[in-house]
Amino acid sequence: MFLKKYFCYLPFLATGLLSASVLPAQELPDTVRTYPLSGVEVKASVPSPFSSNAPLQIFPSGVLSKTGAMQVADAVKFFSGVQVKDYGGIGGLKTISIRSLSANYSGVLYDGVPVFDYQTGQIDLSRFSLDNVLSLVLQTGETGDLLQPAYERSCAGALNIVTQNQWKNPEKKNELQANFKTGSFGLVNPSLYVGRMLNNTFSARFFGEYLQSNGNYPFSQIYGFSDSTLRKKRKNSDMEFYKFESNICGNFPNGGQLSGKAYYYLSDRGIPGSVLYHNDYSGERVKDQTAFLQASYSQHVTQVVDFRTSAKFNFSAIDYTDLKYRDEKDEKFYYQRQYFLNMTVRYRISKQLSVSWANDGIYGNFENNFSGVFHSRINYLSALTGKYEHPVFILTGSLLHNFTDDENKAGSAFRNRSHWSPYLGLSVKPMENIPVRIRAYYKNTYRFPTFGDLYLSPVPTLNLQPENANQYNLGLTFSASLGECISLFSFSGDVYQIQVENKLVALPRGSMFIWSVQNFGRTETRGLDLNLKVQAQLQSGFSAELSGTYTFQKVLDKTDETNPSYNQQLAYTPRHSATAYLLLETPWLDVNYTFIYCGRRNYMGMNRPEYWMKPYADQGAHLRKTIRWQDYSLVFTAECLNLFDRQYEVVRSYPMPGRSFRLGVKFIY
Amino acid sequence: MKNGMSFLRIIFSLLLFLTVFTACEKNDPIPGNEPVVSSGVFILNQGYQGQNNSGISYYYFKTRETTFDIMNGTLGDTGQDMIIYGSKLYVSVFGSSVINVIDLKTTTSLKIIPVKDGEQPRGPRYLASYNGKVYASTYDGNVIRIDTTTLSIEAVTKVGSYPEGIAAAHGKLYVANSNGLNYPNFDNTLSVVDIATFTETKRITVGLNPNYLATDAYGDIYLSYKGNYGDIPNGMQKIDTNTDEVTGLEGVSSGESFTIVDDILYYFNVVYNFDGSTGCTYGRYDVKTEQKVPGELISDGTKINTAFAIGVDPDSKDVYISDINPNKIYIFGVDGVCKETISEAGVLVCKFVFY
Repeated sequence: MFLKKYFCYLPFLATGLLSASVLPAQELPDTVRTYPLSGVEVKASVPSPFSSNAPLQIFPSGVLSKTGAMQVADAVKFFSGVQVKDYGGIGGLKTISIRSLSANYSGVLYDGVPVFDYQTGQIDLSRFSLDNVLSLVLQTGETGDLLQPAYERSCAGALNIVTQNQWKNPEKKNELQANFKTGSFGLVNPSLYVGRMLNNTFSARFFGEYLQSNGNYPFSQIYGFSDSTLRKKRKNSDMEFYKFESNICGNFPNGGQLSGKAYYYLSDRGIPGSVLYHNDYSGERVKDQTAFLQASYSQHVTQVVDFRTSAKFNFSAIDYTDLKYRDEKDEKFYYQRQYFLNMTVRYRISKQLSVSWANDGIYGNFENNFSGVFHSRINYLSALTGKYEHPVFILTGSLLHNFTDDENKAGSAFRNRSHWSPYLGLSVKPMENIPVRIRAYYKNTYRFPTFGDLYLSPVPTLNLQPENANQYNLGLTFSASLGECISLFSFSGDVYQIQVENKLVALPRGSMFIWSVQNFGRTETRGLDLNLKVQAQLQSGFSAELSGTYTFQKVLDKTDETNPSYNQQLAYTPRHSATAYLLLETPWLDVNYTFIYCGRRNYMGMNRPEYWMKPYADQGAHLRKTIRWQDYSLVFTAECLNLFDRQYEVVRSYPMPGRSFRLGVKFIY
Repeated sequence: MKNGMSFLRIIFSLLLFLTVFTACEKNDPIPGNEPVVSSGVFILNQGYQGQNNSGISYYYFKTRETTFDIMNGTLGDTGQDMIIYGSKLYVSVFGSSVINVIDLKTTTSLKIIPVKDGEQPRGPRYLASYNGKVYASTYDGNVIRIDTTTLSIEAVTKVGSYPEGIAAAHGKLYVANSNGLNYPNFDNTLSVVDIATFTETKRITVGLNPNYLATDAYGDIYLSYKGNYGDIPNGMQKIDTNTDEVTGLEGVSSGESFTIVDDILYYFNVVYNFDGSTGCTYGRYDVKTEQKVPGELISDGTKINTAFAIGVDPDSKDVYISDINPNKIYIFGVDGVCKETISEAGVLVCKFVFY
């Protein structure tokens, strides 16, 4: 069906592929003018945070492993403008929300290829461990990377999890890493990585990981409006997963670059649910399987034309059981499949001006075993982007066409929606000698209702309008090396305004079990993100890195003046939040300290004391000792999380763990 | 608000004083038709599932002030139903799986009765009282009986799947078997439980997905059913509890909860449109003459988006309707004109009890 409908685009894709293999490779200089950033490792195709005309935050590989973060979600918390909705524990759901737009606006890409969930539209970051992750890149708006798939442009912001790159050191043909972690609440987490350069063209990498944790951490829960608390222990929060990944990288003599991945993830976990007063029982379990195959290939066709293409097939199955009532066992199966195909061609018209055309076709379906539903969606995204680079300024503009059409076997479907989303970004370097850039962008994002929004209610609300968000951003970046001691000093500050219309809101339908989704919300955001990074080389063997972020967000409900929540801060949105980490490297020991602060917020969208959630500060410490011998090294780590045992909740009635410990040892060759 | 509360306590003390003098039985007395004028209304708000933010507010007529919440945030997760029996307020709290018994005089909790089967919650839903006992349907497919002196569960009996509404008449309990969580395979029966033996004696067929039940002054039981939210519509029916004969209420469409006050059944219905927008209709039905009451419940054009509960002051006959979008309570006089709104009673107001 997908192929038939979009047959017209296939010749285009095919031409791109054919022409690629026959033309010789051209070494082209990267036309992005970057200020030299020492110590920051940036993936070649990604523009630098300094020159990007939209905020770009990077956790480079060297730093990521030193912060002590174990999951992607833990590391993402250190980005500015980002909220991680964390339901607590290793197995708890963790979703990312960029600038208080819901998780549905925040794309997640795994090695440049999107991760999908057609039921909820939200990606659970708890399933991505950091062991094999090289770097994390968070973009808000568009970065000016013309070879991105159109999907990335259709998101308000995107998190790219980078796990592999081209083989760096041809001298070393084999790589091996064996890792073992253990810690509080029964954590056992071994992983193994093997990499091999097969020949001059291909390299292969394998990664396998297992994790087990009973997750039964103690916590204190606030009881009522007073300060009294209940001391309890989390129940039914055990988690077990297996993850396997095989990667292949090809670096062809004609300049073509290939990367392919096969991924399988299997988890079995208890869903502890929210902690209810007077009722500790939880009988929900989920077995979750995800498998995908993906590949991307990029190449220069001529000196002025290059392209990138990627494809993915994803399958996921969820086996959900609820043993809540003794005689009412409830078991349900859900299945999803997605097919993704992308082709982006870039043409450099002149030294300054380049244009690209990205086309993505996505077909996804969803079914379950109990109500005979089978929903499918075709999404066709096409983005035309132009970029003009002048020594003083960089101007980027794009126009994205987003087309969606659903089919529903059991009944009527959400039909034929299309939308044009414009983007315009400008980055100016006013003075040649001063490393300051000023950036501004406008971006429109269109968010289609998910299958969950549309079909999971007994009466599908098929005339729902997609959400529409307009972002305006103005920012400043400064990045320089201040002498030999301060090797990097970088600062960025952005102010922004976002309006969301037709916000999708779910309301119970006469009973708490049946929900209907409605289209009435409107919000207005004014925010400020600040980022500071300082790297210092103190003397030989001693170095330090300090990173700090601050986020201010005023996200107001503008739906209806008669509504009690009118002009009140959106639920789960702190006005003030801040993060910091300090890495100290000494010849004997590396020490890392982390700090996360979240100010007061409410959980009901109403600024009343009974709906307030207390501010919290979560601090952590991480010690690391590396022993090197020839080509081998052993890394010992010891961590203390939530150092001061702060009891807090990110999501109402989902307590977070208090103080806990982790120990690890890693062998690297 | 504080003045309102202390005045309320005085009223309660007086009432309790009266009750103490009339009550010396083993169980609480069967409430008679004492000509006691309500001084206000208890308002149960469900809160969102999993958030422990259910509560009980009290709106005091004289000062027109609302106290939120008399339980100070401790009621628990998803309050479902609330009735007054004797000198106590019984509140079923579904998520927390307890029945909270509140002393009307002090408005403090006398006992939190766990409604569990070992570790597992039963999930109490709706409440009914009959002859000195309080009954609750529970989502594990049972009805429980509560002794109103010891405030404990003394018996459990099996009914159908995911029971909802419950009502008593002529020595029998009627329980709506919804099978609601096994969508789309809804049930369409009521379980009839003999109160003396406390066992299910039969099932009678009613509309699909039965929801709410209430008894009128003549021993008839009225029922609303939800249908399948699609091609099978909702509606209301009457059960003659002598013959268990079921008759439909002509021209009444509602699958929601309702209330019967002085022979008038007040109901509402929410219409869901394809674009997700909602509208509401309202009506009155005379259970004595068994005919619809002509005229409009709301005459001033007040638009309620998504009504969630209805209550009627037995003295003034003022009609209270809660809206959940946004969360607000509208009070209409007998002329159908909105005379007051309350915004301080929490989210998802699901029950009004006048006292």
